[in-house]
This record gives sequence, C-alpha cells and structure tokens, in this order.
Amino acid sequence: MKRKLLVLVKAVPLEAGEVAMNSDFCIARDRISHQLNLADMAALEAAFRLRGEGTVTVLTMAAESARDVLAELLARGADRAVMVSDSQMAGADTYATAAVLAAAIRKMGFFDLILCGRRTMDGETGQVPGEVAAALGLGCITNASSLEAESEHFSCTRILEQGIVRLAVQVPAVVSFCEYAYPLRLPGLRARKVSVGKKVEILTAADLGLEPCKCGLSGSRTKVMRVAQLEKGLRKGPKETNVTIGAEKILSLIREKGHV
Amino acid sequence: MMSQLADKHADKCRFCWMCRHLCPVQLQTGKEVNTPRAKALLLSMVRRGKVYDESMAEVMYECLLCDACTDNCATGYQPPLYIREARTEAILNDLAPKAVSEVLDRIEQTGTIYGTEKKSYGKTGKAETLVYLGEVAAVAVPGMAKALLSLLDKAGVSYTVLEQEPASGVMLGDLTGYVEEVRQQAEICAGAINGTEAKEIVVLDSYDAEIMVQKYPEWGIGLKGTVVTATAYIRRLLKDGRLKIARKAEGCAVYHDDDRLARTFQEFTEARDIARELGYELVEMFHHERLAKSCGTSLAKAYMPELVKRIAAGRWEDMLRTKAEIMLTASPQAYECLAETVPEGRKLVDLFEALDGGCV
Amino acid sequence: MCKEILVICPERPDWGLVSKAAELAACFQGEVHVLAFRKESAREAFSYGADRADVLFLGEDFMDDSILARWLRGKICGEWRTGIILAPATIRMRGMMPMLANMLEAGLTADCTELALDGDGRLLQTRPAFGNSLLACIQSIGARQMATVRPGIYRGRKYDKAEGIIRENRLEDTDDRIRQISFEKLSEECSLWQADLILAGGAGIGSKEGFSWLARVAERLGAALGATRMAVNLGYAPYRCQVGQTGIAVHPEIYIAAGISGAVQHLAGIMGAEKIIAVNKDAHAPIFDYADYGIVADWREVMEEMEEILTKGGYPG
Repeated sequence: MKRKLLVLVKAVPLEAGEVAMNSDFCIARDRISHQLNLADMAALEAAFRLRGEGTVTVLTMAAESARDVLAELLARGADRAVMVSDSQMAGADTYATAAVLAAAIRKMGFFDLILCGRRTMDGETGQVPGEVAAALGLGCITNASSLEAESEHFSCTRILEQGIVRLAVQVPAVVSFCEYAYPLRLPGLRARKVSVGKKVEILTAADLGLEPCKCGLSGSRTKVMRVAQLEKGLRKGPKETNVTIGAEKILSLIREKGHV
Repeated sequence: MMSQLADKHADKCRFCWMCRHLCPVQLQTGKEVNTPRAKALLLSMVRRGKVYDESMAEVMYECLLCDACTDNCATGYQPPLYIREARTEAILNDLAPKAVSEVLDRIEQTGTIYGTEKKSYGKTGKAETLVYLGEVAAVAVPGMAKALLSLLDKAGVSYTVLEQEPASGVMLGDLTGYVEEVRQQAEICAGAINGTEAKEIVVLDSYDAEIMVQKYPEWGIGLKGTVVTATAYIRRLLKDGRLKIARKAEGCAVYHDDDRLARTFQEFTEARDIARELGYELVEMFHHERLAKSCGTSLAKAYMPELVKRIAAGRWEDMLRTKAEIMLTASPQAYECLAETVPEGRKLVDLFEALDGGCV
Repeated sequence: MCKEILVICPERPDWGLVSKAAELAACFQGEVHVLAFRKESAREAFSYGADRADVLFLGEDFMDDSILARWLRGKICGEWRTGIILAPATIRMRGMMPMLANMLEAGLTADCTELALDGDGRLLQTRPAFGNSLLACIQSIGARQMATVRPGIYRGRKYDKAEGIIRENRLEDTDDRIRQISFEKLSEECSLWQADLILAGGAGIGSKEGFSWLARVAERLGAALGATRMAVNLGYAPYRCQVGQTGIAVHPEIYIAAGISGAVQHLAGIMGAEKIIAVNKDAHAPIFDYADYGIVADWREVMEEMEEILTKGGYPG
C-alpha cells in the first residue's frame, strides 16, 4: 500500500514565559527558540506507523527561525519537509493560516490522510485542522487517540466528554490527535544518516500564487484588540505540614461546597 | 545539528564557576576544558561557525554524566542534555574517539560494554518480584549479584530474573545520546520485564533504575510493575524482620552514594540504615549525599580506563581524609571503579555481600 | 448591527450561554435563536431566554460534523438572519465550528472565558492563551462573528417566556464519510468534565494498588477519580481518568491533587478549578505554587487520616 500522508506541524516557543510580542500583538517569533508542538508528535508517529511503502511529508507555516525544528523531523524519519515561510504571513489567525496551508496542499497534490495535533501549545485554539479540512472540502475528526488501517477504510478512536467513539473513516480526511496518543520515535542514528542531504523545502506566498491580502494579518478574520499578562495562575496558598490539621481542612473545604 | 533546547541550555551558563568545584573529571585533570561550562562554550562556538572536530568530541566524552553540575547549577541548566546531543553528533560524523567506537561495537555484538554476554543467574519465569541485575553486576561484579539474590532467598522472597536479561538502554543512551536505537532497546527490555507480570521490579544498578523511571515514561514505554532500588528493597526486608542479622560486622566505614541514588532518587538513608544495623560505625566523606562526588562509571571505564582510575583514586582520597578504614558501596558500577585503586590498609566492601555474610 | 445571535445547543446544552446571549441581544434589540438537536432542549431553551428555536434531528450515531457545518452554512447564508454564532467549547463543537467558520469566511475565537459588546455592538471575546499566561481580547472582522465559549462560565437565568416557535429540520445530506462503529459511554461516576469534586493522583501514588486505594477514598467522598498522564502511562490508572491532555478540560469546584508534582501540561488542564488542594511530600513540588491549599505530607497518610475522621463521624467545623 503506497499511502501518501501529510502531517501538519507547528514550531512553538520553547518556554511560554519568554514569549515577546510586537506592538500589533503578533508574537516576535524570530527572537525565540522553538520546539515541536506536543500534540503534533502523536500525529507524526501515527503517520510513520501507517506509512508502509508510502511517504510522510511534514508541512508547516513558520518563520525562518523554525527551520531547525523541521530539519529534526527529517532525522526522525520524515521523507519530505516543506515550510511555507514569508514575512507577509506574520500575524495570521486560524482562517489565514488554513488558507495558506490549503493552498500549499493543493500545490503538492493529493494526500490520503492529513494528520495534525489537536491544538498547539501557544495559540491553543485547535481550529486549524477543521478550517483546513473545510477549505479542502474534506471531513475532519478531532481529538483522536488512535488511527489504524483496515481493508476498506481507516478506523479511528475519538475521545469525547461522554465517552470513546470508534469511527470508520473514508479517505481523504483530516484527523487531529491528542497529545501522547502515540509516543514519537527519537531521531535515530540510521534515520539521521538517511536524511543527510535532505533539505527543508521553502515555499513563499508567490510560489503558492497567494495575494498579499490573503495572507497573514491582512488575510485574517479576527483581530487582537489587547493582551493582558496573567500571573500564570499562581495561587500560592498556605502549606500545612501537620497531617491531621491538613486532613481536617480538606474535609471542611469539601463540606463547604456541600459534598460528603 | 543540536536541538534548540540543547542550544538554550548551552547558552544559559552565567560563568559562576561553581560547577568547577563539583565536576569529578575537572577536579582530577585540572583542565579547564573538562568543566561543564567549557563544553557549553565549545558548543556555542560550533553554532557560530567553528568546525566540530575530533578534539571537541573527545572532550564531550570526558564526562561521567554524573549530574553533579546539573543538581547544583544556579541557573538551572543541564549540561548532560547538550553533552548527550553532542555525543550523537560525534558518532554521526565519525568523530567519536576510537575507544568509544570500540565500546559501541561491543554493545552491538554482545549486548554489553564488556564484549561478553551476560551470565544467567537464578530462576526465570513468572513471579510477583523481578530482580533486574544489569550488565555490570552480571559480568563484572558477580559477587554483588549473587549476594542480592542470596538475600532474597534467605528472606523467602519468591522472585524471578530475566532470561538473557536485555539491556535497559542506559549504556547505549550515555554513549550515543538518546537516539531511536536506545528507545528500541528500552522497548525490548520493558517487554521482557512486563512479560514476567512482576508487580515489583527490584533494580540493582541505580543507572538502570533511572532510565526506567525517568526515560521510559517519557518515551511512552510503560512498566506494569513498580521500580524499587535494591537498597530500598533490602532495607524493607530488614525492617519487616524477614532478614535477620546474626553476625555483626565491625569497623568504621564511609558510604559512597552513587550518582543516581544521590541525585535522581535522592535516596540516602536506606543504605546507611543497613550499614548501621550491620554494626558499622559510619562517618561521612566531604562530598556526600546529594553533593556526592562520582567515583567513575563502568561505561566511562570501558573507554577511558586511565582517567576513571584517577577519578576513583580521587574518591579514595576523600575517604582517606576520614578516620574510616572501610568504604561501603551498594552500586555495582561504583564497586567496579573503586576496586582497582584500593589504598593500602583500606577495604572496599560490597554492602549486599556484607549483609549476606551477616544474615542466616 | 447584527440581527440574531445563534446559540448551538448540543446534547447537554449550556443554558448559561443561552442566557448570556439573551443579555447581549438585549443591548442591540436583537434576538436569540437556538439550534438544538433534541426537541426537549429546544423547548427548554425558551425559559433561558431564547426567542426562537430550530431543532435538527440527527441520527444517534451521526458523527460526520462536516455535514452539520454544510447544513448550517446553507441556513445561515439563506433564510436565517444570523450575525453572531456561539457554541459551548465541547470537543465536538470545537471541531465543527472551525469548519463552519471557514465555509462562512468568518472569524472564530476559541474557548472564550468572557463575552461582551463594544460601543458599536460588536462582540468582544476574551480568551486565555499560552498556558494561561496571557489573556487576549479578540474581535471578528466581517459580517459574521463566531466564538466557542468554555462551558459553565455563565449561569443559566430563568426567563418568564415559557414557549415560542420551534421549527423542525431533518438532514438531507447523508453521504457520511465518517461513520460510527461503536460508542463506549463513560460511566457517570468517572465523568470528569462535569464533576464538581475531583480527587486525582499522579506518579507519586506509586502503584496500581495505590490507585485502587485512592479510588475507594474518591468513592467515599463522592469525588470523580482523576490521574495524570504519567500515572496513566505507568499503568496505575485507566486512560479515561486522565486529566490535562485528553482534550477534556475539567472545571470542578474542588480539585484535590495527591502525589502530583505539577507538570505544566497537567496544570493547564486543571486551571479551570475553583479551588486546588495539593498533597505532596516534596515541599518544592511546583503544584504548590498553583494550589490554594497545600499539605506537605505523604498522600496516603493524609487520606488515611481523612478516612478516620469520616469513620469517627466527627466533622471538623
């Protein structure tokens, strides 16, 4: 089976704390270190396991500084890495991001499956999978925990609040994965040797035939009005060391809320 | 090509120099290049265009990955993180020292750093308790392996060991950095362990225990049983009265905390409790517990025996500054390193062997 | 400005969101239009402030939400006068709404924790990002504005209006490329997402036995049992108990973290809790910085103590 698999990935800031913003509330992505988004790792490993004789291509829209992250995916075993990178694309919301990714996918041709993480660690919207699917006219399954090939279709497990659904999926389709659904293989010595000479391919807006007004901030359908820094959810309550006092306090807090 | 995380850690150094006073390699060689901060500087230079060459790769291997620098770093940076990645680069670009490549070949051919296959100990099969001995005890320090198993027999524990015990991945991981090949080795090992359906996994070598507890879960490899260090397990058997000491030992002793028990597990009291119950009078060396100075590792000894000999001798010097006549250890790796340079009039004692001798 | 606010009410409707929509609509003399998937829900919606309702009957095993999105696009671009589209941020709605947004070329804001209107009657949407370190206020550009809203943020308000017009709809498009094979419903007791009290354990619990013990305490307290990813990975607890990384956000009144050190990803998943209580023997565990009340002790000792107090029947004040 020669499947063509595409994995959408994102390079996210290494540490949330160091994120700097420009005056237009866009993240200053050139000034920070990146890592691969956590949930994308599961999608990539799922793709590797489904690859068989086929190919796994990774695609991202990112600033030039994210190239290393993509290069590492070649070392982990990706056959091809494509990066759409253009200064015009800065500040894109999920709509504009999906437009660019969909244009790149159309240019690259047909894929059996488009896999991605359920959300990114920075933006945390989880909207790009659905928007890309709609832009390409495909169905979309979000929050998947497994994806396996059957003879006639693919079977997919999706986690919902009320329970776990098993689905039969006709390809092509978009599937987004939960973090840790599959543990991503490490860059291997053998895989690294194979990947020597492979380069990250770069595409620009012009390569995709996208007008500047369709890209980045100007192609977006949302606008950030203001941003406030939060105290990172620090609550720093008192610490008790006496077991009895602690146990009593827990019970009284529970009782206050009408439980027990 | 290092990860951005590794680069970040390499750049985090504030040059406070505290690691100089803790690095067991630098303390012996006195060479500035052996400090963790020097390695960070070298890698920074590589990123800025300097060619990564054989001499630099050699420096990256002159490190025990003992974690003393990490544990005490003021800026929270982790030299082992970038040192492991630098080792991966060295291997990929054929820059690793010849002795390192030879050890790598030995692992590939026989599964151990020694170039000989592991001996088999004890009974195999299914049991509630599994003993994971590790290659150092199985090949180089058989006395410790036998003593531990004998103690379990005496306590009436029904246990099993693995048939042709697969490597945990710790040796390969420290030699090549954490690459996919290491993860695959770990997967095989976890599969064998889970196959025994053991609820408790008693791990003799704390280096094996560390990779099982810290890296396996990170790599998505689950162990069904709970990992217990051999020292903690034996301490429990003593406490529960399943082991009874009939003959007391005597003498004034120091206990050498090995790198992983000291820093990863922060387990200090278990071995000392055993020693005290056995009847030893305990005193402490200058750097002990969390600050414990490494006496070398079996892996490092395999590719740079001379340097490890000096590092082990450095630990004996610490001991000689105390009034103790005995150095106790519960780590097969520490035992292998220290055994070569025992000073005259002093004794190296394997804690398990000593306890086994004292128990009926 | 906009004419109608459409609120989508899935299987378990978020009535607070309907009431909030009614409050917003009142500011611009607009109306609240509810789309429900069950007739009872559509009826109930009026008492929470809906002006009119549509019900769309989907099969029990309907799972291809792209069909739902296409149906909605048809209605919204056709006979409906929708200006704002709101849905609770459940997993399915967070999957469907982006498809609809793309089809409508509309802006969509995810998982909002606050909704308001500006002077021009446009929606101001507030949402946390970067692991709760930033709070962003976002507006949509264009004719239609869309948002998913974190469930349970707003309280339902009862209105006198008891009824209104309900129109019934059926799907014609049934070429579903995504079909349900089976559905394993989670039992109510471990349904974390709607639990008010959660007792969760981490790697510090130490074993599967430890977890069964913790489960018994949870049962006694009437709490749902949670687990960290590490505890699940180590095989201590089943996957359905995992908090933080399954996409299921929890927002209980009280979250008790036993033997949990507090990995960033786990913390992000529990920030919706009103009160966080941490029990850990390591005084330096990061979880303590994020807890309202901490106990530095072995989790088992604390739980044993709690059981003893409960058994004695003596409640502390």
